[in-house]
Amino acid sequence: MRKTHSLVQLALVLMNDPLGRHWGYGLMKSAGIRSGVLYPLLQRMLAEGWVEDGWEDPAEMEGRRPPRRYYELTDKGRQELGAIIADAQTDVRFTPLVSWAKGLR
Amino acid sequence: MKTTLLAAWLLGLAVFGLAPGFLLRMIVRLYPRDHPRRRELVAELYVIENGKQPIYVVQQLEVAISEGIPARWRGRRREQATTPGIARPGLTGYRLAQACSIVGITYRQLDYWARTDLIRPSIADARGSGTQRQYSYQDLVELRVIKSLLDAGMALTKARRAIEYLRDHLGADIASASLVLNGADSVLLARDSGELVDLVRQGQGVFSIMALDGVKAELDAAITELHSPMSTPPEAVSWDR
Repeated sequence: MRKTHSLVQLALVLMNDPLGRHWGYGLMKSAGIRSGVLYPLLQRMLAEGWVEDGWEDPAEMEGRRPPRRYYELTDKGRQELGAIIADAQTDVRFTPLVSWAKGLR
Repeated sequence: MKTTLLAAWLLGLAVFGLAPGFLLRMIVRLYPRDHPRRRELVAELYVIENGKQPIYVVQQLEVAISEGIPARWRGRRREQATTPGIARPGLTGYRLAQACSIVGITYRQLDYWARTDLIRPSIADARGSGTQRQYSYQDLVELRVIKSLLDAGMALTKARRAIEYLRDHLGADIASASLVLNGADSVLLARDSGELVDLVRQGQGVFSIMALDGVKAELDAAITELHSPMSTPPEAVSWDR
């Protein structure tokens, strides 16, 4: 995958919580990328086997709303994204991003 | 003139501000019917703060145009490529009643199997009342396999183990496998590699298949060699397989 700002941003956000579930809107907000960029990226990551998706179980949900689709990193995804981040840290283009990611919580 | 402008402005405000869900459901219709993004984008709306919903809705128009419309085009091209009149495997969903009649099982059986996780409809699972379960073509293949196993006298628990093994090891290629039913207690999977795997015992018990057509070819060759002055090997050798 070509290393763009959006990809690095998404990688940083996903790896900030490498074992958790991630949601579309949450990723848009925390990575600061539009859905028109986010979803095609996620789609490619699914195809590469970097992330897996699933749907919330309605039995475990509170409140009345439809089940959402979540994304989880696979082992392969953690490796690949880890490598992308490691590369980005040595790349001048991405230094502002890396320092921005330090503020993520 | 002024009143129409005002009306248009009010209408816009009403749709964007008061009915973002309605507008978003219109937008996701740009995606093909079975695309997961249709449900995904709408579901996200319900966790967004009210004030930000209209902005979210407008943003989804972009992804729906850039992703949904191309997906639709690809779908249409695929549709044209396949024979008309035959359901496209893997793309169309089958509703409960359709699945029952295609596979030849009762509604009760299908419902029980879905509730006990033997086979869940992979396109759309039941989510409360008012939603339709939708089985994929692949589900139907699996259902048919289970039915054949049960018809052969196998117990449901054993059929369940067999189908789980098949699903884990063959995935979408399930129909490419050959099964050997060995009484009511054991079902063997014949793999391309020439192995027989016992499905009920979760892959334990592996036998080897000796391909006899190879033996026959060797035999034929040996006979031809023996009779080489003559033209063809004797009729009696060409066994029917």
